[in-house]
Amino acid sequence: MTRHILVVEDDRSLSETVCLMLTAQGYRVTACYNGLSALEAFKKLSPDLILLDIQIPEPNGIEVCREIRQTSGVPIVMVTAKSESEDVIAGLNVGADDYVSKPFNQSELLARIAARLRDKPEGAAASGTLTIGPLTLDVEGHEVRRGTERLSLTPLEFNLLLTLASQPSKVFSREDLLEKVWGYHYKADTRLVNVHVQRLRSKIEDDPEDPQIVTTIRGIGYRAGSPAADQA
Amino acid sequence: MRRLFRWGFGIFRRSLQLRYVAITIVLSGIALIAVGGFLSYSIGSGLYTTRQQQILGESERAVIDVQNTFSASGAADEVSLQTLMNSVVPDLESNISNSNRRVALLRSPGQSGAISLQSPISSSLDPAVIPDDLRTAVRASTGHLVYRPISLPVDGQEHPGMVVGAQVQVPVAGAYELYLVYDLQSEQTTLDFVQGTLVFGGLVLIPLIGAVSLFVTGRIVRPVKVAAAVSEELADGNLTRRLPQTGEDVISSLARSFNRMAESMQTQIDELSRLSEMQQRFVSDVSHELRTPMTTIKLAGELIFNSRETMDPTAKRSAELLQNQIERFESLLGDLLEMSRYDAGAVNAEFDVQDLNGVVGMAIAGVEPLAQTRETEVQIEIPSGPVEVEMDSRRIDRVVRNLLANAIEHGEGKPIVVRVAQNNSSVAVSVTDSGVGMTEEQLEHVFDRFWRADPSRKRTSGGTGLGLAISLEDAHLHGGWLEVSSKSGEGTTFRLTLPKRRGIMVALSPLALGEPDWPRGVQR
Amino acid sequence: MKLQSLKKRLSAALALAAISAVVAGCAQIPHDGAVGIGPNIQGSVSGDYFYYSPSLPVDGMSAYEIVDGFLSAGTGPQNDYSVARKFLAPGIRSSWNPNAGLLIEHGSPVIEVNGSNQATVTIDVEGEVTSDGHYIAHPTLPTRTLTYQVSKIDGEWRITSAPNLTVLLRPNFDVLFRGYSVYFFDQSFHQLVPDLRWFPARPSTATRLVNALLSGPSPWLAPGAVTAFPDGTKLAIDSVAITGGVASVDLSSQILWASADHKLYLQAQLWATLKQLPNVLSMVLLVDHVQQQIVTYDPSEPAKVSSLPVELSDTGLAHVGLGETTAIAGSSGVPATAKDFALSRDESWLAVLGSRGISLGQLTGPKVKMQLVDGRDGLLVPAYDSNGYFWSVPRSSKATIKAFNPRGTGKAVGAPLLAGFTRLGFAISPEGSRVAMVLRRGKTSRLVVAAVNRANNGDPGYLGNPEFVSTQAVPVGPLAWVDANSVAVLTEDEGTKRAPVIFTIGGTERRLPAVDGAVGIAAGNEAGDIYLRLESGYLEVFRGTGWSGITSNSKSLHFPG
Repeated sequence: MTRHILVVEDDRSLSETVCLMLTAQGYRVTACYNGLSALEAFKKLSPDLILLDIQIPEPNGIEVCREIRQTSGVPIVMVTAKSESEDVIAGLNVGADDYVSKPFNQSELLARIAARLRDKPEGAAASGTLTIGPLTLDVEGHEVRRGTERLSLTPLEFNLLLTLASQPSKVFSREDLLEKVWGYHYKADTRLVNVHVQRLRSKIEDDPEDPQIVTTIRGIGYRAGSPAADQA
Repeated sequence: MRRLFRWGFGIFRRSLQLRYVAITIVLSGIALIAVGGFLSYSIGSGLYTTRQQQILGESERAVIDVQNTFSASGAADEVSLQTLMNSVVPDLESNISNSNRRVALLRSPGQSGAISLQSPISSSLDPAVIPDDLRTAVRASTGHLVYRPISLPVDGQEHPGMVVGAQVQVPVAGAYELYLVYDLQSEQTTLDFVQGTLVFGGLVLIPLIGAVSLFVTGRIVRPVKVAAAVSEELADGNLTRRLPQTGEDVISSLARSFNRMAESMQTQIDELSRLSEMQQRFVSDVSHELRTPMTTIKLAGELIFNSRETMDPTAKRSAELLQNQIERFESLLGDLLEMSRYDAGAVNAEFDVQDLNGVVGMAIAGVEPLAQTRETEVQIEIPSGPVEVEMDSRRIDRVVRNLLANAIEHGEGKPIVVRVAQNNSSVAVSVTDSGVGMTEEQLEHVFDRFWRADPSRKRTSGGTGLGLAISLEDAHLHGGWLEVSSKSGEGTTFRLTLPKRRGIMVALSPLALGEPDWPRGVQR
Repeated sequence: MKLQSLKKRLSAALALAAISAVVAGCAQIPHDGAVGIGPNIQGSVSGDYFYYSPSLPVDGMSAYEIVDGFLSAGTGPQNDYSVARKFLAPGIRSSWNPNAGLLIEHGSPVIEVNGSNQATVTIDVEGEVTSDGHYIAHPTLPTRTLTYQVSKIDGEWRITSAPNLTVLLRPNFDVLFRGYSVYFFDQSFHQLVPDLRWFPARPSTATRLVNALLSGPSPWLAPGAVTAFPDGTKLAIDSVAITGGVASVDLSSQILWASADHKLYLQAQLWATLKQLPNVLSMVLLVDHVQQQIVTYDPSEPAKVSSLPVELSDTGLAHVGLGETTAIAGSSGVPATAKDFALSRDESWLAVLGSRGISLGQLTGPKVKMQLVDGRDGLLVPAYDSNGYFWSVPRSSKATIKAFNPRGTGKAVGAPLLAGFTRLGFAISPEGSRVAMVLRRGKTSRLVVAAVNRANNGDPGYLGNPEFVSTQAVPVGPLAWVDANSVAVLTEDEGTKRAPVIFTIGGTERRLPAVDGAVGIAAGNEAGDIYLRLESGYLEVFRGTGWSGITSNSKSLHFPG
């Protein structure tokens, strides 16, 4: 099936070039040039992925991202000209799954999009039910339950949790997670991991300040399960 | 003991206030002792002189009384003479205000005559205390008193005493010597009391002076301390800190000057930071403005390049050239932006404790394709355990990659050695090639921007000429060193030394910098 | 730094501190030192007066020379006759008492040394002074023989036995000795009575005066004079030292038994006696060495109304001044027949001797009314004493002397030892405890003084033993007390000339130039003036050196009281 990508970019030339490129790769593309039309298009079209430039007018990409995350876990890949700036953290914090920095090349952009459109992470359990702490993961149903309560996770967050839960005793470094969850095969921005682990914890942990399900192993990375359980 | 002294002396040397208090105490202590000594001495001699005058006055009256009594006597027989003489002693002993006066009336030896009168002496007086030289002086005296201070034994103690003697003529009996012995212990007691009071006063006064000087020097030193603290805060960047300025004295003048200096500094720094902000914004703006068209160009270029097979040979070659130059342009733009970020001080680093071995491994992996094209072997000498450094791994990776790329480019296909080592406080990575090397003149410029060792040399790796300059900035950002040593025709070594934790000063690199006889670049 | 320099500084400070401490420690009252010379005391010591410097004995003197030298050394009382004592053998050197007596020689002594080492000294005695200072004149120059024993001591002649006296020529006596009054009280303790004594002027004079005072009045004076000192009072120290003008009298404890009044009186006696000495300015009284508080008591004669004499003339009584006379109010009532008079000291009572005897009157009204109180024959001039009594003295030795109190009541005054003497003159001393009389027995007339013993109420009781005044002068009769201690007496001179002689009681006499026709004498004012009344009624007054006349017409002239 043809994946539908919503391209939000105010620079007409870049927007057109990206659309040309994505179309050539077989994606269905819709272009928007400002925030308002982007939100409108999102509601109407329900795209599979949004390529969202942060610096767009009315409202800007951060606002658009926050608005969309209110209702949807749709993969959002941000486009930014200022990878060094706070914009990236702000975007990740409001729920963007990944980002690409200008100037990006075709393969990079396509790799990000492909990674986000992928159903589940590399090396994760393909099916069945996983239990991690009080949580139950339905792999096929992309569902997480705490008891009977269904937790609303974005696909990225689900993939992150699934990756950790697939090998509960393993400690994943941030690079491991970047590779498995985000599809990076080279060194990338570890902030992605940090921000999304925080967001995941805020949804699944009783006390995000004292995580029991996704725990930090200092200097190395993360793993599923409480350190106390491990010691026992 | 010695250590204690050194410790005390250290405190003493460090605290201005303590030093001045100590000096004040010592000097005023000396002054007190001197004044006390002088007072004690002058009071003592004053007491003695006064008492001596009093004694001489009393004695004068007593001797005159006695002589007049003898002269006026109508007594001619021995019995009444003896009675008269006997009356002299109690008479003078019982004299008012002289309870401590003792009397002896001794017959001068060497007189003829049969008069055998007894010499009356105060019962509590040992005539041996009257010195012989005084007796001689009395016998030689003509109508005046003679005196001498003596030591007077009283109840087993030696009291200061005074003997006054004079010759008296006893009718019929002849010449006698009248001695009046005075006990001066009460003066000694007074003097002792005065001295005790002086000592006590001094002992009270010295801590008092210490306290006063502590207070006073505190008053003086406090503004200095405040100034030091404020200077410290200013140095730490709190430019709005000022000294309180009140009054007209030298301290407030210091405060005014200090504040003016701080004011001017703040103005300058504000101006600088305003300029820096402007430049930062400019860089940021340029970056944004350039990146978006760059992205478009890049993507469009790729689209063209990808479809070159369908083009005629001329267009195909053009598409290849375009793609190449777009990449070069992008790389150049990236380096330029990075450099201008450093210049503007707008660099955001993300420090994290990571294994340097891993970073170096990634970098080697990154240049593997280049090494293969140049048929260059990269040898690795790294410690077996992790080498943990607090660093921005992206930048360190970039530095190592850059060094490796340079080494491969100038290594003439000879093996390249990458070493990693650590000591207590720092870690180091060195990249050594055995290529053409550099002259000393070249060594001086190796970190200059856009500098090339050999302008005519063929460029294959597409370096921008900013790589080493950025690497040096990256090293400095970490508080580390990036050094080079090279010998023309033998090879070149770059060594990056980083502190293990941010803020640690790098003192000694764990790795050698090239061969011992290789000239070294200027330490940066 | 600076560690070194600081250490150096520190050690310097410590050294300074140590030095200072040592200095402070040295500030001690010294226990030893050199002999120092004190103030001079020579000037303050009352030394002896050196009028004469008799020679010391020299080796090889003969016994005669020794005795002669010894007698000559009597002129050297300084240092208790130390020179004279050098002539004595050591055995008696201190026991010889030169103060026991003095002979005033007339001419040189005759010294004879016999074989038994006895020296006999024969002298004509002009007068003598007893150990307690009484002067006795010997107008007849009796011869006295003194015996001295000499022997050789260590090869030199020395006197081994000597009478306790010294011998002086009259001029030397006048230089070396002074007459001092020793003061007693009249029986009522109102006025001081002098008793003249003679002592060498030495630092010990005060001692001897006090000793004389303590031993009481002369025998003749004793009935009329009393002393406030309790019996047995002595000097606690036999020395009255005078230092800086202060005489210290240290008495024995008997004095504490005296009543408070008597303590006052005895101090007055002491002070009156001691203040005669020129170097005494004040007095300190001690009892057994403990100083006593002195309360000043200054007894004095009752004041006189006037210092001028009063004359009786036909117009009554009047004060006689220089060039003018002042009549006394009420005295015009004095009868013209009055021959003589006496006026009480306060000039309120008047006694008049008339042809019928003595009348008494009070000068209160405009004219005095006289009343006869003694009508006996042959009465002498009446005399008022300071107590207000007037004395009526008959010439005859058989008649009694009477004293009348102011109420006019007469009482006989006993005079047992004056029996057989005709009374030519009578005068009563200013304080009323002595009388002076000119008496005649046979051809010789003598001046006599006697004490008046009074009853407790002041009434005169009797006259004590008469003391005959030795003199070559022949008193005529009229006499008057010049002051407390001397009497002026008219004595015979050539023809009708009469010479007033002033006798000091217990002492010497002084003859004034003779005046022709003098019949009366008056004296007694504070200036010591002597007035003479001439037969013509004129008056002569002696002031200082000579007589000066006063024109008058007086029948009689007296001082009141």
